[in-house]
Amino acid sequence: MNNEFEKLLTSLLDKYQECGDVNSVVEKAVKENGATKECSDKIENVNDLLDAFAQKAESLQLAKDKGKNRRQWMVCELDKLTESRSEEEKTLLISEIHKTGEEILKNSITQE
Amino acid sequence: MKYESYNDDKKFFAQDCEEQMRLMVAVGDVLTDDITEETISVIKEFDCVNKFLELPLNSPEEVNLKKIFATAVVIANEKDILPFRLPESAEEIASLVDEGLTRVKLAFKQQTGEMDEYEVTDALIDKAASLAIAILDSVIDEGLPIIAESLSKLALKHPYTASLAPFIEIVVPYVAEPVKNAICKGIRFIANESKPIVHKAIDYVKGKAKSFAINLTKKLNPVLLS
Repeated sequence: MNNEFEKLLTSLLDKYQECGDVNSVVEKAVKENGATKECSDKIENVNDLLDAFAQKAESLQLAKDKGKNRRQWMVCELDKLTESRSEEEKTLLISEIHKTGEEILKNSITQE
Repeated sequence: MKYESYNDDKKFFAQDCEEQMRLMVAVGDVLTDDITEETISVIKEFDCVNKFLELPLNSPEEVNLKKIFATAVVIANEKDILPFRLPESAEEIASLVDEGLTRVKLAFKQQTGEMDEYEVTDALIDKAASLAIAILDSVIDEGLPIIAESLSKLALKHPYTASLAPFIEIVVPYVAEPVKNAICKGIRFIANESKPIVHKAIDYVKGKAKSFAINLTKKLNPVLLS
């Protein structure tokens, strides 16, 4: 591993292990490393998304604990996301998502 | 595929999406089967990393360690000291960190016998589903082109799958030697389990492409084929 990167990551893990407050470790790391506004905004966006992933994972787990399966949970989440939209918009949306999914799959398989 | 009515088709849509996620998870596994214990050295063992591995999947505390790794890779990328290419968008970076650490944890749990290969695969598909819904949620008001672009970046495992193995290689040096060896074995085991699924997927996609070409030819030149 790159030596400088190793030092940075080890230092962040040391600080996190010491204080346990992730927000303060992230804030200090941004300052101490002289991160630009763009970099600090990106860290904030990524960390917000990580929170959102955790919330959805928890929601799926709760649904499964109540006897729902993954597909039922996805349909339920999709309904929540599109509740204020017209039927036409909703149909277009799922067609578009599906098309994207097929493209992704083709790309992934080409890599293999 | 074009859906005709949201209310009538959404169940088929969920089924299709699940199938796509299953195949993409398998492809991601195959791409991480070159991680070996010989090429990775332990740097320093951290209790917070060991605790992350031992906690049940999706424990609320998991996100803290993910944020530490995410912060490190984004800062390192700006300073040009990151040993691999980091994807550009926040969606791809968050997906890379989340999936990378999840795969490390699942490999550990598979090797310790806490989870079997079926449970591990199911957990990876759950993870892909929750990531997709969370990203969709974050871009739903941006309009269709942005939604399509964001989902492509997410998954797509392209280009972020290319960064998955190097990302895992920066996580593994922070556990004890036996744990490191178990994780490497677990990652390879899961990857090998996925190979038949990926090859089946390749045949499926090729078959679809072939039937599309035949239909198109029929449409364009019905007389020639009659």
